[in-house]
Amino acid sequence: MAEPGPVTIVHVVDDDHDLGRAVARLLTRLGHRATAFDNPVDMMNHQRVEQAHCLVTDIMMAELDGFAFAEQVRAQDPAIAIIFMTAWPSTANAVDAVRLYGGLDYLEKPLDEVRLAAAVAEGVGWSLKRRDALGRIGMLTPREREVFACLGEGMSNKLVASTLGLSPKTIEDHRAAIIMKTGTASPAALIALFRATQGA
Amino acid sequence: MQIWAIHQHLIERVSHVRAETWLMLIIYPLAFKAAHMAASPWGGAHFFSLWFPAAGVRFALLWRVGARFTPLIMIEECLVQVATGTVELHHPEFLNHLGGVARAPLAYGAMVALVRFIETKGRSELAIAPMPFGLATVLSPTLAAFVAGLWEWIWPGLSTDLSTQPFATMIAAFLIGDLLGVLLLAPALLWLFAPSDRWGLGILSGTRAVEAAVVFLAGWLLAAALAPVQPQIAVMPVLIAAIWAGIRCGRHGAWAAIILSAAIILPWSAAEQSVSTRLALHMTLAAMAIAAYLAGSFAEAQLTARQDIGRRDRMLFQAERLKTLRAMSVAIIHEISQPLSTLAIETRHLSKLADDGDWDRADMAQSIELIDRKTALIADMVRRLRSFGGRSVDEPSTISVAQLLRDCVTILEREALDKQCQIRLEPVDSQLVVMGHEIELMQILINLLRNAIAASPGTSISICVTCAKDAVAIAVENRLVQPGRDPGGMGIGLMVARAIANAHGGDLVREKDSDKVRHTVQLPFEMMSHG
Repeated sequence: MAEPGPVTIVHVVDDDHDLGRAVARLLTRLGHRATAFDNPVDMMNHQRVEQAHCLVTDIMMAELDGFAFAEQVRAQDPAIAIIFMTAWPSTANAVDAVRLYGGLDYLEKPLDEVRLAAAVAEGVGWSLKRRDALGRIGMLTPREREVFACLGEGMSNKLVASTLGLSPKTIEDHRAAIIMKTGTASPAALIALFRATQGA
Repeated sequence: MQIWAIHQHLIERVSHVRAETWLMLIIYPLAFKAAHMAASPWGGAHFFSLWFPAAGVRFALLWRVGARFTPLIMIEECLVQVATGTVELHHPEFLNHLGGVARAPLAYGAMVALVRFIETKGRSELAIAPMPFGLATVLSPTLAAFVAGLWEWIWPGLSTDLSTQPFATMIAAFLIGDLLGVLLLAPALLWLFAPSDRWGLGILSGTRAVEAAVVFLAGWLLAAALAPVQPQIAVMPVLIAAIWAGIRCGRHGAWAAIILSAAIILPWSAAEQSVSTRLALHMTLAAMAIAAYLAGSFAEAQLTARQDIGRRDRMLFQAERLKTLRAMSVAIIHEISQPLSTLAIETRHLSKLADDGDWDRADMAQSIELIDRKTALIADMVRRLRSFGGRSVDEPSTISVAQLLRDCVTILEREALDKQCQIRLEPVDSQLVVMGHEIELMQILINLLRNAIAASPGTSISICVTCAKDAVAIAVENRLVQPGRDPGGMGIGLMVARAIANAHGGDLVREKDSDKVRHTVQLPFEMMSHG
């Protein structure tokens, strides 16, 4: 018997109660633990209790605009993937959704189920990776974070030392501590981890 | 090569001239000479005539065929005057006299060209027909008289002393004679030339004609009473009556008054011995002709402008209506896409359940309940939309105020959200109905709400309905975010809204406090019929 994967949590926010519920039921059937909310405030409150990997939100809502809502959610949790859905699709909004508000996808209503499922799966995967990466660097000291950032950019020990005004020996010590705390086995793995924390 | 090119160009230009124009140009010398001779009874010692109909013939031809024929007309007039001996070939002052003949058509041609240019390029009210013609009839003789004065000043045929009678009299007589000739004859000739445009604008009505006739008759009765005592100012009341005829009946009324007055004054002045009385009578007639004709032209130009404004108003109204229809269609897309999404998800789920044979009764019941609710919603929406698309949409019908307002709020929901506005609809009695065109009434409310959204972003806009004895008042109230701030726009939406409200027998009232503004649409109340 295959080992069950991690529980993936998806929150759906739409001021059309029925549509929110239908989307949540669909995502539940697809294996996610999905909950529907009629307004952003309820979702934000629930997020404190149960952190979602992915948020599927409407853009035009009575209480709070979907983009402003996304900014607030992202400020609270940088590892949450956001997918926008709208009945008023426009090119400008689509570009803003992805470029300015870090949206993973921009879906038009009536929804394309296959695309929604794919976007949520991708979002959940991204969120799991990012949450893991952020957890791994969580134990680093501020100085180690600086060194980690430089190493993540692909700098050599010497270059990091001259950039931060430290000796190469000190950098080597920090590097050893970083590798131990994050469990990275190679420079390539360290760079990959750094990229994951940056959301790339 | 160049000569050949010019030759070809001229041939091309000439071949484009219509046969009618050539005919007019051919008979012009005869008409000119006949009109010239007709002026003799009003001649004097130092001037040719106080009524010069030849000027009218010349002006009519230039206006009709265009100023580009000025050189040809000038040559024709010179040839006629030389051929008939008016300008003597062997006179020592031959060239001066010939110049005296040539200057008038040149001045007329220049003024006609200028006025035609203003008519084509100008944007002021002077460019609105028939003002250009009215101006040209007055300005052409004036320019010709000015040129004549200048000519006589430089190459004197008479005394150059302006204080002496002959020079001043000659120029004044020239101006009066030409003005009367143009104003009395040119409109009639042009009327004959252009039969398709004979009756012009519909300013002339039976009532107005009778009214103008009564005023005109009263003017002449007063003139007849004054004539034995003060013959020089006797015609003044007629002048005022003729202006009145122009204002009320347009150019046709003015022209009729001028012709009737000329038919009385010209024989009267021809019999007068005193030059000063003749001059005074003709000056009054000229003043009458100018003032009455310009008044008539102005009245018609005003009517044209009013008709133009009316046409633009109708176009604006159509544009506003299209904007409303667009907003409606966008709202419909939103309204339909929401339940459609739910329906699509749930039906696919049911289909999958059926395929798998994995029937979870509770899950299925939830899907069926959702589908049922969404289908009912769409059916209701379609019923409402059908009423917009039906034939009855252009006919007045009884409209529920509550439903009308709900539809308007739905249509503008998105625009309001874009501006962080909330539209608050106070409870409305569902029995309240008005009679009217649904889309037009919706147009009023949408325009008012749009203005409110634009003026008060981020605030709450309230809609409140009150019912008086015989009218329903729908008030849209919004708070002014920054008093005195211009929200943009040209006020066309408000203008259209007021026009529609008036057409429905109602009104639109605007009330403004220091921090809020309220627009109230009042519509006649209609009792709800039951059954």
